[in-house]
Amino acid sequence: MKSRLAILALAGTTMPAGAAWADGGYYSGTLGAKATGRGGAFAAKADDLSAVSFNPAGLANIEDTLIEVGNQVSYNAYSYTRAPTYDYGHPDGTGAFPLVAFDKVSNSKPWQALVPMLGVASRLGLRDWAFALAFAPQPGISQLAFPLFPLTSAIAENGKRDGQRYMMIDREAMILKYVASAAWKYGEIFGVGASAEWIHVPRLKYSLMIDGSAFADVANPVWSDYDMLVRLEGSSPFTFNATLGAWYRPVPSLVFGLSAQVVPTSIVADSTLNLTAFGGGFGSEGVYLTGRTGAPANDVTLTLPLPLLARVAVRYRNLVNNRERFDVELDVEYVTWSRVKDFTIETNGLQANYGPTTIDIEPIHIAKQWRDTIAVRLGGDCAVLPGALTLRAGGYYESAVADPAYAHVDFPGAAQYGGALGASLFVRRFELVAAYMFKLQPSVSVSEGQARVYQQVPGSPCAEDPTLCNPNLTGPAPVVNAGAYSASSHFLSLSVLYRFGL
Amino acid sequence: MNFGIRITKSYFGAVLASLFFSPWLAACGGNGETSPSGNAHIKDENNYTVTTGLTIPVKETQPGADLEICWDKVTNDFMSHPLTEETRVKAVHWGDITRLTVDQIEEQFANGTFDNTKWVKKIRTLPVPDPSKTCGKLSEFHTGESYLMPEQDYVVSNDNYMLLFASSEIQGKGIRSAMFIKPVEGSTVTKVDGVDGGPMLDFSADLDKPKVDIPAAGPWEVEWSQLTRDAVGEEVPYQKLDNLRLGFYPNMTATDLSAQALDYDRIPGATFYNVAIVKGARSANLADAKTKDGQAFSGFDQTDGLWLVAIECSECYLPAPVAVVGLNPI
Repeated sequence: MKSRLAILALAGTTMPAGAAWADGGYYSGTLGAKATGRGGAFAAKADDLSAVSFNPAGLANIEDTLIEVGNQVSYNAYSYTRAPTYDYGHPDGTGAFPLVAFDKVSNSKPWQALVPMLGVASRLGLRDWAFALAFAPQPGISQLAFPLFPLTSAIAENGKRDGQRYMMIDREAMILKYVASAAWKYGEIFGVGASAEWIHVPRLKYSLMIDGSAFADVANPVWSDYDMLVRLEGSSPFTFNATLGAWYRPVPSLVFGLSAQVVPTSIVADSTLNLTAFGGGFGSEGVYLTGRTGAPANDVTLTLPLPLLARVAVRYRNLVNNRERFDVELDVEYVTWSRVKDFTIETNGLQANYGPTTIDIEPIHIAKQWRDTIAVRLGGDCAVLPGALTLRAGGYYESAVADPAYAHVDFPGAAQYGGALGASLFVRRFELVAAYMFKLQPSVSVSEGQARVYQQVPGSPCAEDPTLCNPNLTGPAPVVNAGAYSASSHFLSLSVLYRFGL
Repeated sequence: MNFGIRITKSYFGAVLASLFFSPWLAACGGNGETSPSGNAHIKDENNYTVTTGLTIPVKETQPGADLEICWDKVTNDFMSHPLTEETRVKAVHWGDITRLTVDQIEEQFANGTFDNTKWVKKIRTLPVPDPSKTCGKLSEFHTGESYLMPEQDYVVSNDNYMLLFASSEIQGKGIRSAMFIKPVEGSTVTKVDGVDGGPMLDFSADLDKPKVDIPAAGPWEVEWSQLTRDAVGEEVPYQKLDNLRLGFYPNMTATDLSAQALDYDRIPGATFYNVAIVKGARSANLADAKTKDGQAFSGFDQTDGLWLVAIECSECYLPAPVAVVGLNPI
């Protein structure tokens, strides 16, 4: 008889990937210090290397050659307090199920020190053309880590301090983008551009706990003697993506911008899956994985869909003697996060083994139930000292990517608000840019009745035969994402631009 | 030529025991690979088949009591072999089985269809590292950090409670004997003695199957890629097979062996060659088989007797060979 091991509830997995502008789903943060200082309202302005992502058509407006080097440091706070729940798996001495209250857990790796960007854009002596090459990791929260505590003989304490364990323990993603862009303009009337992007994921990690119990009526919402720690590690050498853009300037003071990420693609990561016995129920032998031939194996393939994106922007420029004193830009973005219906893990016939037992590991589909988002960004520059100092500010709102019922610790999914300040200092041919952005996801609370992220209990027969479900449960397994979530991030971006050939 | 003799053999009921207790059911099987090599091909029609019947004793006791469980009377296993230091009781497992009657449990264990994910609610184990320990309390049974609480876990209900006396702490492995314990209102019994496993299981094997031809002069590559079912009709656990035993039983016929089927691997005067099976492999070469003394198999030079190949799995719930086939050197 076989039990199917769904393992990886890899809810969410680690995939911040793709474009630089949206803040939901996988994405977080803004590429480039100038764009950051404007709250991301940059599709119409797009006058530095960030244009390769925001609107490649904007490259046509650069003056001769531009080299840009930048970095972003961020502090990403994310906390979660699981809602109290009854521990049906461990009744007390009277037979009653204790109501367990959980500690608040927080991201233990909030600092992210290195999100560099560098590249060059140039007209190469041409009047109406411009080209660019850029390298930039995907700005965002590349690491999240929550606590994990061992099970002890003081069972009343087990599971209280890491209430998020059945959602996620930690994740890490290193996502790099190599971009080549070209742009062309027709005078000062309109321009078009395109970027070809090579997305490279050299490292991808994700871990969570699953309950390996394989009994009737099983329900261990807090901890289990058959807890298994699952770790996924993978990489993806190449995913192609592309961005198209355009701008239109009917009058010198008004610019419309349009850009879109148009390739419906997914990141496919060749990965390894590791399984470790965490609970004491497995004894000394633990759990190990084999392939179809019985030899040790642990290869899986993780597929994460990327969204499409469209952005429209309108920018007003206040011109005095043909010099811009200030500008204000409004961007509206639409991101098709609904493409992310689930994360798929192809398990390639892996089997989990414990003692004399073997379990087929079926392909895993992790439902995310994400929805399309809309973001509104407003920002602008003000030339306080023309040619010497420019200040900028911006703010934005982005709608929630996830229904609260599917809230999760792997990616903040609620609506987000952000505000930013920045400045540019011009010294000869250098422009020194600094920006600070604050992003806030207001607290989201999910009750157990609302929650729809279930504990992974692959050995349980409940999903196939509801009569074998624990009578205290209302679903196939305990819900594990009820609770309160809050997230905020601070971004500090610095860039140095060098223009020459003027 | 077929074996025309029915070999009766008590066996372990490992199918019953282990599947019952392990949290991970024996997946038995999986997708096999077809070995392209081999010149002695074992197929389903060559394999012996087994039918089983099981009668597990029931002991009525006091409900909610912290029973004293003793195993000093468990001196023989299901195969009626005396327990040795290696096979002594090293753990006792307790299980709560729901929604099945005793008869249903016995039937499903006997035919290997018991699914613990459907019927087992809880398992607890009492490790017995000390050979001098022969008794223990229910409250000492545990899984990880979760201990059995008799006043809550062993109560009058529609559930059935089972004890398995095993030579392994791994739930489902090395089962030597079993019994039901039943909480009954009014009972004052608080001590339970395990009994020998031998009398419990009625087992019959049919070896009246076509023999497998094998070149007498070699090569002697035995392959089983076309073997899909084990002796009890379950999928073959290819990745768990670990030993091929070649036996020659001098001056014995299948009829003679049938009377001693329980001891097929220890018949006095028989010669046994063993070759390890590479994990997941579908074949083995008898030229690699050796006796315990290291003597290599050199051919079917002995003719006055019975040549038998058994494919064994030491980690399987079924301790009897997965396959037993006669060889016909030609």
